[in-house]
Amino acid sequence: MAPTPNEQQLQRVQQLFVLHAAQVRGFIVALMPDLSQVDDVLQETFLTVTAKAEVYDSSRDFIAWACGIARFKVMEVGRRMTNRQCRPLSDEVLDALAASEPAPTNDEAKLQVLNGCLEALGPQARRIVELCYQQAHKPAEVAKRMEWTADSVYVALSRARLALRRCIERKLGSEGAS
Amino acid sequence: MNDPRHDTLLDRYLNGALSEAERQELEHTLLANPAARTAFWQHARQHALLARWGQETWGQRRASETVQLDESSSTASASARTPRTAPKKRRLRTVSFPRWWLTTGTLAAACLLVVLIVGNLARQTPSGQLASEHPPAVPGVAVLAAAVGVEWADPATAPGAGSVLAPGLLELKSGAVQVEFYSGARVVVEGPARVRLVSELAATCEHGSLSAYVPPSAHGFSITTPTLTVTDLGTEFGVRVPRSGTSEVHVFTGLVEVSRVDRSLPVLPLKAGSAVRADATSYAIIPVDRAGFLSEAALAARLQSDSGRLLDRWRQSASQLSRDSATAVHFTFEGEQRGERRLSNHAASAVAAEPASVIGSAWVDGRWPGKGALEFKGPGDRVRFSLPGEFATLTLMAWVRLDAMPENVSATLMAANELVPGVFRWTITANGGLRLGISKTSVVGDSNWEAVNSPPVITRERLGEWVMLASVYDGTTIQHFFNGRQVQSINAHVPVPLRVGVADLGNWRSDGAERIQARMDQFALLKRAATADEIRALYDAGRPTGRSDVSTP
Repeated sequence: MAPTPNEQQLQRVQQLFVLHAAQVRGFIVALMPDLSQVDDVLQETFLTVTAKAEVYDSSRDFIAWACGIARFKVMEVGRRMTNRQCRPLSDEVLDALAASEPAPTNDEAKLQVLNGCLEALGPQARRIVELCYQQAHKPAEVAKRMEWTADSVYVALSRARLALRRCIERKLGSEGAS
Repeated sequence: MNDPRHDTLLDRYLNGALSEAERQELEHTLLANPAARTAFWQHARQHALLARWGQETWGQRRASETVQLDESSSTASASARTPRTAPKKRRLRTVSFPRWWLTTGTLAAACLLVVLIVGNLARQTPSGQLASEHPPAVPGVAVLAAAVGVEWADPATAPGAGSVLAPGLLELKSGAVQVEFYSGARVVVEGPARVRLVSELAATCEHGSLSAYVPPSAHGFSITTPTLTVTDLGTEFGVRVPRSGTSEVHVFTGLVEVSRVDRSLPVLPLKAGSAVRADATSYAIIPVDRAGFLSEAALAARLQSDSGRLLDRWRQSASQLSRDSATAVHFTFEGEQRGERRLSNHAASAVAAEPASVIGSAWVDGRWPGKGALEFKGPGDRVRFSLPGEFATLTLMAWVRLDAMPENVSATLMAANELVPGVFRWTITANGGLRLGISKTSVVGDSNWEAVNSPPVITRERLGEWVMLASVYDGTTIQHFFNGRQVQSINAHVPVPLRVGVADLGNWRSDGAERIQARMDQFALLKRAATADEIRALYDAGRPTGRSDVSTP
């Protein structure tokens, strides 16, 4: 039961990763909007974080370090993607976006009010949100399934996101706005 | 930035609907305009928030759904008692799984951890942001709640009942243990077994047999075998991994999800009353075998009968120690009512001695249920006793359960009140070592003490665990023993006779600065040097758990 210093460091880094997986995943989702690819990127990020555990400097912010690795994994996975429409933005843009990422907001508080906000959506809009985000279908697939045009699903989804964002901001006050 | 065109492009990006021209336009704007990047993060974070909501709520909803295996195939194979190939992909897909659940990764290590990550997503703490700056000093994930008749593969590092378990290996040659994870999940492991604790929500089982009890707080708890990962959705289940052969999963109540470590088959939901064995390329449906797994109730029964047996064994050894003519003080903490403020000295040579006084301390359970002990907690708590006379050699022995590391320079096991030549102080040092100091003159100052420290023996992992401490002075050396094992032996000579006078257990000074925070359920002082074999025998007879002769109920 007495792990070596290296094993201890590895365990510590893996525990940190598990602890912050939601934040790292959120960062990946922002840069890799195709949700079907997100878990692959998260897995590869985890493997690299594990491989580099020894060089992690515990005085540095873990999330920033892990997200730095995740950004490169998004670029790598993006290069392998055949569907051009869904691939991430160019490396140069990803670098610029990562450099200008604002301070994190309180996702837990937002998630708490989100359910109430979803109730306020119309039934069709809620269905689309569920299919896209709970069932991880691409909007184009949702359109086929609901026998809508792709554009009308895009519009409904965009409006739903905006309505939910405003609803959350309203419920949490201005400090919840980002 | 309030630019409807930019908002539209961002939405099309998030919807996976950008044309080549739109992508170029969006990238150009993002590079050129900081406000455009701020707007990007607003949109992208809302998207990420919804993705997280979707993932977490999907998991919750799934847990409350009853997903059924094909009934007819299950019953048929169960009655035929012949394993058969599990339903193929198409049938299992009757449950709608989002694609992100069936990720295409093939690396086994990653699979285990992604299950673990998914399990943890719903358990993020709001203050999680800060945690990276302060990694916990002792990353405990569980407590060893009970151990019955355990023979550990490596006795040197064996944890005792009550000790904190960090991520790492538990290897039992025989016997059984109950592990209580911080998440609330409880696992009974029956040896021979090799189980590795990964986190408070995950463990791996290389071989052995275990049953898991998972309350709602620990949904997502997973056990990974060489071939399978079992993820709990609120249930009781058993996992059996033979040394050679294939893993089995038995579900007693609730619902679990079984996935292949190599991801060769889709995730298989398994409901109460069903069991599967993982064959090379498929699942075989087998009869559920509740009786084949050691349950919590059976473990508790074993523990009780084991406790009774161990308590009897210890009583025999304790009464032998009381009869030893060199035993001057022997507190067994037995025979007193809870609440009694007088403590009997059971040493036969001290029949006429005044009982000791219990000050502050409360009566609690000792090594076994029903065995008395005193708890030292508050700054005044102590047992005060007196022992007249002088002697040349000494053995000190105590069974204690430390609940905190020493607050200051040391924690007192026993200390004489008067500072005269020949008195001694028996303490635990700040780093967890055992120390015996004998005063050579009455002048205050460390240089006037003949003192020997042991290397650290009480570590944070040992807190909460009953341990036996012993120290011996034979006139030429001071030796220290931890759990029956010699840990120090150094030449020491005191040119004056030893004496005690009035002394305290568990405390020393009036300010309580060197008090101990511990339970004590046995203390003995002998006016002779016990041999290493005698110390070992005292430990063997007093171990709180031991190899069990009791067979499985």
